[in-house]
Amino acid sequence: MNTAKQREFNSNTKFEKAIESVRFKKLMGEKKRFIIPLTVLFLILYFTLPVLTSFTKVLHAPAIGDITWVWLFSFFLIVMTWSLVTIYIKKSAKFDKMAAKIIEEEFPERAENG
Amino acid sequence: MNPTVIILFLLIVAVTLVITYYAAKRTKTASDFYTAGGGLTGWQNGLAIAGDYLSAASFLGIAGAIALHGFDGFFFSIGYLVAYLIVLFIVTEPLRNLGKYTLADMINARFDARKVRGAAALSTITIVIF
Repeated sequence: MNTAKQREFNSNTKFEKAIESVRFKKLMGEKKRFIIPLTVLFLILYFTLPVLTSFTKVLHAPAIGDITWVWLFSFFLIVMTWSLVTIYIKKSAKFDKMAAKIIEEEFPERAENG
Repeated sequence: MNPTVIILFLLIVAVTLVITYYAAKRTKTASDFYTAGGGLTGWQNGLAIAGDYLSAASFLGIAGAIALHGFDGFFFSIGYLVAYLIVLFIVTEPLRNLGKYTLADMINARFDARKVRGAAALSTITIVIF
């Protein structure tokens, strides 16, 4: 929760010391390893849609009855978006816990309520 | 001009103004104004965004575009759905931790060069125009 007390803590504290700690570097490494591959993945998956529809006619072929492949591909993109959102929410709860632990260690005078 | 339409329109404007008056008495800081002081739950926020999309973007925009152009109209909705993913993965958490509310504010806070801020302002104005 971004309460007023938390915002005050965020703006008044000197975080430079905490940035150097080993645990923070580990947290940032894990975050990057999680976010960057997934971002590249969904960007590539999404951009095949306009590329395929603009420059080829591959997706014009009917798949199920009269429904062409392009509708199935779009539906798959929607499903992919929702699953990536759920994955991100579950993973970022873990990252929040790691960050709270780091703050607890580096700034012990500040009672953190998660 | 149908009198019923005009009366309904004025009624909705009046209700909105009353709600705005009572809400304005309670907001005191920029954080209150932009993000309800951080006091909204995820579900409340999500429902607000869903209301916006269900009324204007999807219902009027996409439905109309599909009616006119078939699949070419549906194409847009995939774009803005995946755009939400980009915002979620890359922008949300750092921006919230920084405490700023827009990307231009964030650039302003991290970099001190006036040209960078000028470029950010120019891009915001361009997006608003279109």
